[in-house]
Amino acid sequence: MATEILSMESIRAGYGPNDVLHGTSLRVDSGEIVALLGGNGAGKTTTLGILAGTVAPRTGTVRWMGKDISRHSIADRLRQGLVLCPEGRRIFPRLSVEENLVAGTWIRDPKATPRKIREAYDRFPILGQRRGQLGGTLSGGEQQLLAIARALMSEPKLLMLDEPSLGLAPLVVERIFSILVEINACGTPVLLVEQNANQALKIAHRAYVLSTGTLVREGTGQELLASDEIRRAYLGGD
Amino acid sequence: MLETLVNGLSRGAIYALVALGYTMVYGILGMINFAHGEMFMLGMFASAFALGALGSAGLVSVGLTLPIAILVAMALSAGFGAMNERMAYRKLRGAHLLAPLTSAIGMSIVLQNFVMLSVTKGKKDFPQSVSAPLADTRWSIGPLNISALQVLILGSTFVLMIGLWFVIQRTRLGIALRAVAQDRTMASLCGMKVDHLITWAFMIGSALAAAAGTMVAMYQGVIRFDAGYTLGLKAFAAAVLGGIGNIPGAVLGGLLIGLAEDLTTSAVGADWKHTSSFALLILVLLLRPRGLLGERVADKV
Ligand SMILES: Nc1ncnc2c1ncn2[C@@H]1O[C@H](COP(=O)(O)OP(=O)(O)OP(=O)(O)O)[C@@H](O)[C@H]1O
Ligand SMILES: [Mg+2]
Repeated sequence: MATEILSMESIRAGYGPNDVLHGTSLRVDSGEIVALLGGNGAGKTTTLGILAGTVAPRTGTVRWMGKDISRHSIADRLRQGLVLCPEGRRIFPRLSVEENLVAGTWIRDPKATPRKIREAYDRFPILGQRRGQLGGTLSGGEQQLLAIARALMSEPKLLMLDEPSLGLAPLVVERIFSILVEINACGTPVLLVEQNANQALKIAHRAYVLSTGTLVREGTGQELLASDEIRRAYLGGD
Repeated sequence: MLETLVNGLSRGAIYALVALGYTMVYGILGMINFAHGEMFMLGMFASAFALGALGSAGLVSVGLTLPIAILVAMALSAGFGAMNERMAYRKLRGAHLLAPLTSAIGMSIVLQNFVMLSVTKGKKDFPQSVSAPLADTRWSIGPLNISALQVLILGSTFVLMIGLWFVIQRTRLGIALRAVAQDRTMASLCGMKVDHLITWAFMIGSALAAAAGTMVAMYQGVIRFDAGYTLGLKAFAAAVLGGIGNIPGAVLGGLLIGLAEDLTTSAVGADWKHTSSFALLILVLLLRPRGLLGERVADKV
């Protein structure tokens, strides 16, 4: 029986005078991979910002395990396990791979860091090989792996990712998505923002489609993949 | 000649200690801390008072009083550094660049006047209990004649620099400071309190400046409320020479300016030493606008 772990209810938010989100609601249940799809500027990143605490909502509530966390700081939400792997990966370019991982442990007990670093290298051997190299010298795919590994260092109870496939070669994208499935299989729910809708829907249990700040569709991954209307409007029509 | 080199290196080591504070704040905030020279000056006065108090309490053993005085000075300046960050910088974050610049200059004037009015507007003697015996103890190593005070200055600067290097390169705090310097948004997504870390950068830099202040005070024997002005300028020049924002650069810049001054002094006379250090700065900036070890702007942001 899936229970709701994260929800946002009737969120209005924006920058300056204009609203980007017009009363948006969504939820993530335990064990799920949820995809949040939508075109450029639809408000996907803003939605993740509301959940992670980087953007303050104008009205509405964010609930985490039943508790209202709308006013909690980023660090508080992180400590509770709400971890965002942001758009554009944002690897610290002049920290080494290992230091980037350590940065991810900032809110956790430092005593566990060596163990967690070993686990990260077991999971992503390429990062172990590059441990001393500066983050900025990694390839795009390696940087995305590192960004995910760094997010895992924060010990997520929900992992949110903003367009992890952006700018990566198809083979690398496949690898990233299979890693997300793996992470999910270990019990961590995933909220995945993507423009690469076809791929995302294949791994998502459920998905939302966001269009200029309004959720226009919700359904299981299969339903949305099968829907002609959605295919035409958001999935590039193939 | 050898002595000139040693003098230049000791002077340069002092510049380097102060330059580190400029470069750390610039690295993390992208701004110059124009009140940084005052942290050096406050360190001078703090250690003078600490030594005075310890002396009147009957403590005279140099091995004990000096470390205490330095630590007091470092702690006090660190406190003022944090205050400076809060009052002159944090409130104005996001404002036009000239706003914090102006408020920092204001802070610098306030601190100078505070010391001038509450202590003295003339010179104050630095307690001789510590410095005199150190300056009088001289060793000859081959052709080199060096005082215990110089050894102490070179030694403790070296230790402080190694300590800073260790903190920046090998501790979680250091990783967080560098993370904030490189990508503030991502640092906060890692749960780092950006404001606190910026305060830390000010505090560490101020503490190093205070240690430098104590050593210069011992060397010169007198202190003044405006001592931070010229020295702050020199150290700032050193930071820019080495490439502002770059920690090894600050050390290199400090040592080079110190050496240039003492070489000039012995070659053409002390009147020319300020000219030579700034001439060196201009020359280097003409050839390498980012300083000797400075990064290109593109790498920085
Ligand atoms: N910091 C900001 N200040 C002002 N406007 C912003 C800011 N961030 C986003 N916006 C605007 O808000 C709208 C939604 O942006 P958002 O980044 O949430 O969209 P998105 O769905 O993530 O788009 P993309 O697919 O391009 O990443 C856009 O019109 C964007 O221009
Ligand atoms: Mg986006």
